[in-house]
Amino acid sequence: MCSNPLPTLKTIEKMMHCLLGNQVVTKNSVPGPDLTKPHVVASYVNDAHEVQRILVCELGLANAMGAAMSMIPSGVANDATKAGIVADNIQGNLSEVLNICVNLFTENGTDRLTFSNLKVCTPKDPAPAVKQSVKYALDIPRYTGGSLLAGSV
Amino acid sequence: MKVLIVDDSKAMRMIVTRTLKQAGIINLTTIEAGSGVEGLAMVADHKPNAIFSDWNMPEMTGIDFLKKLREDGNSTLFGFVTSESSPEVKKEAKDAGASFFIVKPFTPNSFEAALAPVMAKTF
Repeated sequence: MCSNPLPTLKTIEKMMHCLLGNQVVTKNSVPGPDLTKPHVVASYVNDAHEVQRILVCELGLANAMGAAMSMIPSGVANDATKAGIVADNIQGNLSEVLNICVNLFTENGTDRLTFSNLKVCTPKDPAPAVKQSVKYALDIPRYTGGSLLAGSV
Repeated sequence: MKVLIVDDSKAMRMIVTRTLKQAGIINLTTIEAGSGVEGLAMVADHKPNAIFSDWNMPEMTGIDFLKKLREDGNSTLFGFVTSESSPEVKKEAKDAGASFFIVKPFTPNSFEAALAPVMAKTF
């Protein structure tokens, strides 16, 4: 079982400032992502390919993070969110953002984890249950904000 | 200075290029590849001065790319730009002949810090 701690607000803030710019605003969020709507789940696995940590992002935030990485217009991200999908031309960027986000889970720990995959989940096809979680909200200038959850599985 | 950037993310290749410019690399020319396999071909065709490679890529990983280059007798300055950060991975990179190791996400300052020692020796 992975013993790495879940990320703090400071860790999330530092990561998002590096990835998406210093204007990104991060804060604590209650209750966290709205899981009654489509949301993106990124899985992080150990060397035995067992899922140890997940990152759950509201779909609007996920599309915004992927779009903001290479300045894809916000309209593309918003249209994809309305359609309940991750846009094709955002998917690669989002995968890279979520790949880099593995360091949210490894920066202050000793266990090696790697990004496995991302999946759009719905209430009918939900994210894995988490044992512990932390919840934050992000606001990305010129894009949609939203909530994310980092959890241990 | 001709730099080969190897990463399966096109956006990341663009960001690495931008960061190299922000880090003050002068006379910079960049060429790109999306995997280690493509990287080997680019090295043969373009003979870059330095290689910045991701670790996890389809077809051929960054570490296998580096090992193949060294097996072939190629000693081009090589470093990793990767989300990997464990001491074991850093040691494997160094043992295989990597000269620097930059963890994503990065800033121009982290590029400068990683590159200053090796650039001074090499160029």
